[in-house]
Amino acid sequence: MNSRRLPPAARHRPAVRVSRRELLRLAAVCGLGTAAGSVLAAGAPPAAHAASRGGVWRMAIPGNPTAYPITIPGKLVDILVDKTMFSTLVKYELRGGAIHVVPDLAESWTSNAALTEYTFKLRRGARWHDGRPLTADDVKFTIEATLNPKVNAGMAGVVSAISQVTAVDPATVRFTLKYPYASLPVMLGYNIAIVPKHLLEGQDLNQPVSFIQHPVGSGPFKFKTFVQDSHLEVEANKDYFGGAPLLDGIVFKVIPDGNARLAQLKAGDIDFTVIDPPQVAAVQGNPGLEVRRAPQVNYYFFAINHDRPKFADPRVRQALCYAIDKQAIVKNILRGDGRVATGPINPLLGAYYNPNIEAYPYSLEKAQALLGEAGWRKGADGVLASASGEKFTLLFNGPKGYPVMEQVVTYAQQQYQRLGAAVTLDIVDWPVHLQKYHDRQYDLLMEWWITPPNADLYDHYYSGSSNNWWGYKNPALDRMLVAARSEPDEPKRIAMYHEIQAGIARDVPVIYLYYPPELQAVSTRTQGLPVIGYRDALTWMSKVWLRS
Amino acid sequence: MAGYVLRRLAQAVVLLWIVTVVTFALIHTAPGGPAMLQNPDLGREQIARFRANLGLDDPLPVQYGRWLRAALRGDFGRSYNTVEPVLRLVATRLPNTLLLTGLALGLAVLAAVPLGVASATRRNTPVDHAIAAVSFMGISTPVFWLGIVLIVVFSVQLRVLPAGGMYLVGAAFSVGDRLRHLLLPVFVLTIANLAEVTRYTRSAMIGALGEDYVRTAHAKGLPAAAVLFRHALRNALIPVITIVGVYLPRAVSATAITETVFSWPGMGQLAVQSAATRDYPVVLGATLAVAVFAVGSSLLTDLAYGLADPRIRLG
Repeated sequence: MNSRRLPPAARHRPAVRVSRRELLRLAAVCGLGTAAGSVLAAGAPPAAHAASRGGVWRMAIPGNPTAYPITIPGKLVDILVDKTMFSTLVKYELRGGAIHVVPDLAESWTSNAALTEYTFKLRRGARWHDGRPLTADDVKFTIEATLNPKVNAGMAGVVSAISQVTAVDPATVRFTLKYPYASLPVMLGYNIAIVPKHLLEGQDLNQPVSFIQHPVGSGPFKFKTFVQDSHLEVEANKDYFGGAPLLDGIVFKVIPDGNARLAQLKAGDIDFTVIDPPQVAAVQGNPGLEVRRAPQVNYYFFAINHDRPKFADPRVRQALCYAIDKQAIVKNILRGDGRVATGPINPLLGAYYNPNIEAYPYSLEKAQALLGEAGWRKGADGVLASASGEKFTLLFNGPKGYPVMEQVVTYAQQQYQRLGAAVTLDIVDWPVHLQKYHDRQYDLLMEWWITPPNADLYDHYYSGSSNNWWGYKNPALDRMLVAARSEPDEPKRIAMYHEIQAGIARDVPVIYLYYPPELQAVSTRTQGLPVIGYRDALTWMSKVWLRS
Repeated sequence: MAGYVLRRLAQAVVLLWIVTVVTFALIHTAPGGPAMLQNPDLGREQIARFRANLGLDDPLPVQYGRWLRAALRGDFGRSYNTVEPVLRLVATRLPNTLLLTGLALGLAVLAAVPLGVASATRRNTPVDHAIAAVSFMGISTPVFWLGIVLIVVFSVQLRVLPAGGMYLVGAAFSVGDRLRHLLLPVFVLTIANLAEVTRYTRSAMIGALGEDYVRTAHAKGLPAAAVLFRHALRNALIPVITIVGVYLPRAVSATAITETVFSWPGMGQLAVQSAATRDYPVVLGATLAVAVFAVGSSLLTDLAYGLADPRIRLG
């Protein structure tokens, strides 16, 4: 990605007799050229002096987008188009294999010692697409709308730590929190797009019809047109505070069918689409296309329903972990695209990731032994039974329409049957899958989390928390979670999260499987797009250009 | 005649009302809720709060009453997924589907009638067998497979036709561009219809050719062509009108697969996506639109019979 090209004068020349004057001139030009090159390369896109302006980049989306960041539906396609038109206070950058929080609308921020109050300084010169300046009032309006109980704000949970927002002056915002919270800066970059107060004040924030038809943001691209079921088009915002985009515009083409998206990519009608592992072979070998494995902060797992008494014994949960060969899943089902997952914190979180924890290497013998210790023995019919005669049944749920997940669940079924469990598969439509997940009508269920690059696990793991869908209760872990997220000293906080990961690995709240990359099929003319999941790559569209 | 039409219209209104009640009950009893409540970042409390805000916790008859009162005012609500008014959504999608199905049905009938006649007059000859074989292939080929194969051949490999959509995004309006985008989806739908209409025409034609008046016409010394086209075919067309009449209601609903494969923004795709995402207002609006079309076209077909066949007296 960082292809530095030396100025022409420094290119290799065939051996030729040169006079001293020519040699000195050559040296001077070399020196100037290298200095100029390094100045350009330091503050500009990697190949700025080779980048060309112009052109329209086309991306496939699976459905119609609604470019309004505050409320549900808040579908993925909405979030994607919003990333190009709206700005957040901070955004995420991949550097050195880890994700870092970098300024976007905010240029700097500080907090008090107790982490209960944060002050964000907004950058100068940020304007809305209609020319009005973006101020702290807009930030206050956005956060208050998100926290308003009458507004169906999809991201309310993300900023739920905030109790009050104050616009100290037009360029300074102060957040007062309900409890000490180290993660406020990183969470403010998670889809909390700032919206214009002057256009939304007084509107029905659940259905601001005129704003939805003509969205106005502060991002590198402005809304141009939307044709239902066809496309949404945005054009370059020349006054963007981060520098005018290199592209003229972006077209998001609505293509509902996965095979049709691939066909259009191969025909050259689009530049980018996300693909599934089975489609990789169809893209590779194509001269104008490449497959990119973009890192993403995620983990795939088998959820365990902690309401079921048989899972109360940690040895049972550990046994279920030992029985799965995660290396084999990554190698054979994911075709090598992925890493074995050890816990809920992804390696992209850099120092926060603890690699030295219980990894449960594949062993059916250990699994069988642990089940035996917990009182489950194989009966004459080969099925595990407890001393009281209860059979070890597993109702295993998975979502329909995800071939990779269906393969993993089928593999797991075989493994658990070898242990002696009576496994029933329940592969259902997405809405039904989600309803059973929320209502805990399963024993095991395959799911995934895509999360902000934040080590805080409170929402998913704290007893009784709103997003703790598995009914997991661990009072010792609860105390550690609260302590870690309130700890102002970062090295101490990192150590606490390492301890949390070790504890989680021993206690097995869910069975961690793998961290897969996002598979992207991209046209080779696309340059400057960071190799990261597209939820984050799309925040860097002002740097993208097209090679002719 | 007027009395007949009025009675049919009254029946239609009652029928449409029953359709809305049944549809409403069905979609609300389907497991899983609206997709917009399925954002994975939503927590339990938030989902409960949003449901209450949207009125989804009220008893079903209350929710239905709310919908019906608004619908009678002409307000069919807004899509949960895109906030677009349902009436406008349906009004823009319906012509797109009718364009596809109208062309497909028209071409199918135009092609099928001569093929059916040829089959019937050359019964059990190689020509008949060949047409029968092609017909059966047409009926048996799955639409999604045929569609994808055509896209792969003509779009990806030969690059002569677009891979989907109604028109080239960003370009000015051009009839040629629209026709190029119509070619493959219309072809796929025509093949599907062609087979059935050919077989029906063939059977109807064979039946007509066996009638006494045909033998009389031959006996009178009429040339074979005159017998065929002036007498037999016109009577054979009555069953064909039946078939077209049966196809008409399907014209707005049976295109879901074709539209999905070709990214064609029509009613079929709307119906499937809104059902899958439990977009209640859109499902109700789309179903009602299809029902209106079905009831209306059925009425028109019956009236057409009355005109085409003097033996049929309506009312």
